[in-house]
Amino acid sequence: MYLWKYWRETRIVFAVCIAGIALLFLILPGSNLAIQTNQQPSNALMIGLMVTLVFELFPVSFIAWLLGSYGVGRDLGEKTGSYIFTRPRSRAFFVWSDWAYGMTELLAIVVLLNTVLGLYVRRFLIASGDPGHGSYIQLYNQTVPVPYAVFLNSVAVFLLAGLVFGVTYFSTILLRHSRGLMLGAGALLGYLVLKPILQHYWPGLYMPELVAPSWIKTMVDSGLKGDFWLSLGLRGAVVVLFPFAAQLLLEKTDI
Amino acid sequence: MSDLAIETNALHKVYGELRAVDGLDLRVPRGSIYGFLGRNGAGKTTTIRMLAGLAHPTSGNLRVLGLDPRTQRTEVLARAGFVIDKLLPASMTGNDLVHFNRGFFPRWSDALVRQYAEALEIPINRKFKKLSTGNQTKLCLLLALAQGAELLLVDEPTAGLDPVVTDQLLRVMVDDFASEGRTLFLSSHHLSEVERVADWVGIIDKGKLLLEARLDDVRANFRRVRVVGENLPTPAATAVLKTSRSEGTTEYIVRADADAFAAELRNQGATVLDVSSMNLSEIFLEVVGKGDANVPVEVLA
Repeated sequence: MYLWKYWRETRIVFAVCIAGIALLFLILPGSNLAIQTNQQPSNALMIGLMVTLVFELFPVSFIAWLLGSYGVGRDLGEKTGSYIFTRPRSRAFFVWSDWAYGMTELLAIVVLLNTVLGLYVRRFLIASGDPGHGSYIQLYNQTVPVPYAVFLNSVAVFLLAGLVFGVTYFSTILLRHSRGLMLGAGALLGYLVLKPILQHYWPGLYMPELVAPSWIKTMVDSGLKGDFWLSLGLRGAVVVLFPFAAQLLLEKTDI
Repeated sequence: MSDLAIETNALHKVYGELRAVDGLDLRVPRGSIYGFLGRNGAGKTTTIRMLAGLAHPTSGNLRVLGLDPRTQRTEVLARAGFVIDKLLPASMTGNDLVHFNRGFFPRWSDALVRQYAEALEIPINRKFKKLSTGNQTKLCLLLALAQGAELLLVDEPTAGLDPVVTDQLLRVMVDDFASEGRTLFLSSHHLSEVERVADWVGIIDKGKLLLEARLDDVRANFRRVRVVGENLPTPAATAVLKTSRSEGTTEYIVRADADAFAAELRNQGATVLDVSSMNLSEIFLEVVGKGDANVPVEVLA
């Protein structure tokens, strides 16, 4: 029943996203674009990445940012916390229900969006006269199957979305207000700004890439082997860290 | 099984310099209608929040239906209904909230929802934010009643409500809920309403429990004794709560054995003008107006 409440609150955001993806599917006729721009298959990658960046990274981060502000943090801000937290469930239940449901919505959005973009890339390659009939794509310096590239991109975008979602969710609980959105955004943007500055003064300082394409490039360059899974696990752990922190914070907090 | 629905021992809640609850020893018998009285900021809501497991006590012990809300919070919440802030998710209708709550409580009753929605005249299809204050409060109460709780704790149930709605709410809580032997804990500073329905009262001020007793005992024992006389002795009796003198008359507020006290004064040469009973409002003012001093609870309990 609690999941139903979260769904009820986020359904408009989710429905708009699905409608947007459907619209994208309809308005991205790869064949026309290929003919109009007269692109060669070797250039397809660049366009594909640009499309990914424009159509995926920022919108998905924005959606994750919005979804992160729902749930118990918002309830606390709207002074309904004493009502929600007198339902007979642990505080951990509420946090993990919010998080799991939000992440499920994000996963659905990311998978659908990447499937549409994968289809677009495939259409584009076929229309550009690709001898492989759009089955393979040149990803950085390696040739990989399009579904694999889609999978890799989905994972990267989903992890970034999960991070944005988690940071915002935690911030909303920390501030006990949907203003946590701003704190979440500030924290993430602050990281992006600070990273090059710190690395300029301390070149040896390792700070993970937040932006998905850079991470994909790192993964591809490292050969898509053991490091990939280690990096995936570490990034996943960081994503899960924020709901854990939110749970601990909420358990210590007086409502 | 304890015969107390709620029990606290030396319960403290401190916020910085503020001692919101200061050594509270509460004993709420099962099956009672307990009026928890205090001024604004006396510590009533903080106490209820601790009983609900929403706030963490600084120190002390507490039990609700024999369970510790600190470690058995979900068990407490499954068996006890709490109406605290009277704010629900604004965009949900009454029906949405019923749907939302149903899955949380194994003893949830849709029949009770229908019954109370009709009896209390709640427009259950309207969004919470569109309801009047009275209907919002009634909806909160309906949801707590329908969960089939053994104990219902309601914070300021009638605050800001008109007399008709107040009457409706009190009738439902007393006639329907408490009449079945369940415990009703009402926190309020509306003394006349509490006096109308409660059988036990606890008076809290500055986080301390000043009085806890059966209401009938309070009514039967608290007396105002007015006396005329010269050089009246300062009474040694611990039952005397307050002494005040004006224009040749001395007034004593006595919390027990008023007749014996009056006889003692007569023996000392005083003229006792009258020994009058007091209503709850007068008693409350005298008890709270006494400042920091405690009235020993066991005198009446």
